[in-house]
Amino acid sequence: MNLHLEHLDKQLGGRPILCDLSLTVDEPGAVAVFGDNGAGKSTLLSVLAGVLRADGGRATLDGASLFEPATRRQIGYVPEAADPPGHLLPDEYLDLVAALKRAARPPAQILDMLDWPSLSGRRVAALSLGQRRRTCLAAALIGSPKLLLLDEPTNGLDATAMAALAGLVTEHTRGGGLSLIATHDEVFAERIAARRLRLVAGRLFP
Amino acid sequence: MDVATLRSTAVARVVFTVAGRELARRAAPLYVGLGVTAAVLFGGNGMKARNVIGIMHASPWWRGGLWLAWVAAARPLVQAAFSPRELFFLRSLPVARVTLIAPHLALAWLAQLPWLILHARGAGTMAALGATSAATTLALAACWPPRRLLGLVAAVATLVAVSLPSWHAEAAATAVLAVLVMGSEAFAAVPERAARDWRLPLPHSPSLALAMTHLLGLAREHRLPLLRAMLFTTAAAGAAWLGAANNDLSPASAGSLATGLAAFVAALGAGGAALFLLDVERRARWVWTTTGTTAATRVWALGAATALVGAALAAWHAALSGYALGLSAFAVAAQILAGAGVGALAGRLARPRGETKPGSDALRIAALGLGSAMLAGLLGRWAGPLLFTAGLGATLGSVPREDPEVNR
Repeated sequence: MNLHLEHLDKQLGGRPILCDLSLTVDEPGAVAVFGDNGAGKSTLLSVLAGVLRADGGRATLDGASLFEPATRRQIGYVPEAADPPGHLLPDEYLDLVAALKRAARPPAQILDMLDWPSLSGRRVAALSLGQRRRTCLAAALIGSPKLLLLDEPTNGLDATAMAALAGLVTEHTRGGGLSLIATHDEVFAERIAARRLRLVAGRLFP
Repeated sequence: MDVATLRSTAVARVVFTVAGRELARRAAPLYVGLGVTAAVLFGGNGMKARNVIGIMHASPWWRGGLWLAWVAAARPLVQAAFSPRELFFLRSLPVARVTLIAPHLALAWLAQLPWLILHARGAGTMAALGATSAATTLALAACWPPRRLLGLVAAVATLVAVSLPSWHAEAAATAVLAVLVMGSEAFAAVPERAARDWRLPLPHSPSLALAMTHLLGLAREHRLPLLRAMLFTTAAAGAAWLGAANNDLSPASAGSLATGLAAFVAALGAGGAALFLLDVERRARWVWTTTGTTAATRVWALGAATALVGAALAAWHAALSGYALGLSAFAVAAQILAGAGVGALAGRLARPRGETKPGSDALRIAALGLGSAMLAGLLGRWAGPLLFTAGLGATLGSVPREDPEVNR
């Protein structure tokens, strides 16, 4: 497992957000990215997920460019807003993501950890933020992605869901995966034994 | 101006801007379609508004049918006037409730403009006031069924007023009072919507799964615009029958007329569906990006969904006009092919909201409908296969190489 970010640049509205950002992670595990509001944590994850296009630099996962659509199937992404198409049921959303990634739905064990039956029958738009986040997390795990990108994953989660999230991230790490987590939650980072980085002035510092 | 007036004006401006924009977007295809239907009925066939009102007075069936059709057509407009989530924050401000409700209700009332004009020209000011208020009340009740006794009484009183053959002062006053009650009921109910749905298992093919997702979106959140398009289609089939009967058209000419009208209504219905789907597409762009979904898959799925909408509307038109005019199997098939082709073209021509000037999408879709109808006039029933080929080519042959937003 190797994530390599090299000289990443990104400006939004003429304001530099990521400036010559570089990072190398050579082994499985969780990496927590802290930073003030507006520091660029969500922008970094959006660029790595392909939602925003980098102005410059390279990002590779096991040598393959993260900016290629095929490589993105190796990524699971949960954005801060957690807003999949609101007219779908959570189960239909999982079916759709599984079809688009050409992979199987998550196993029942994972869905049980996320208390999936409590989500059934209601459209995504009618779910609370925490329930939508659980839906997005289940979808992000489809296809056993090598890299999980989680943006403020604990927002809106109750204690049980947070424990499930920690368990899933730990399982992912044990399976050889890497998680990059933008968060303000020190306790959660402690719980999943994450390597800590701080994003300041567009660059990552230990 | 005092503070209260300034506050009311500011609230009204925000509501008119946000809800009014969405309402205008939904109303444009309805008004264009009604304009065309009115041009055929009141222009070509010499009918007058008072004839329509006369028919409504004389026959309870026509009265019920036309009221049902109008309320179904107006329901999405009324929904747009009340439901934008962006306006929910206004409820937390220290503003009188009536100040918040009034602009929503005014928008919903004004959205009934064609109904108001029909009754004003056909039966006078009092009837226009009563009928417009009653239509607003019934459309609001269809969106948010009343939960309090007062709301239920208002809805029932409106139904009684509507069932009477003509509008008297008492009935009009009842309708006006009822719309005020129902406006308040709807305002309270808007943020509390929740729905439980059946689950549709999606196939494993990415394109098919995405196309079915689009169709689910249309079935769940675009149902009433589709019903409205079906009503238009019924009216268009009626216009084809009237046109053929009044002008003593040959079977071939009747087939051309029916193909042209089928293509026109398919363009309007599929165009509305395309605009809705592009909104869904844009909001979920991160899903397509992070799952490595290609532009080709997205374009194909959108085209397939809008082609199916066009084909379904055209099939309804073909069934009605085929029965009324005794059209051949080829003339019926030509209509369905034209509908599918125009539907796919509408899917490619529509642009995401915010990418174009307001109203330009409606104009583009209307131009597609009119162009297709003219093509049917020139080529007759052969316009059907030609439009189908054009739609197929536009969907499969114009896929962007990169991975930009669909239709940008």
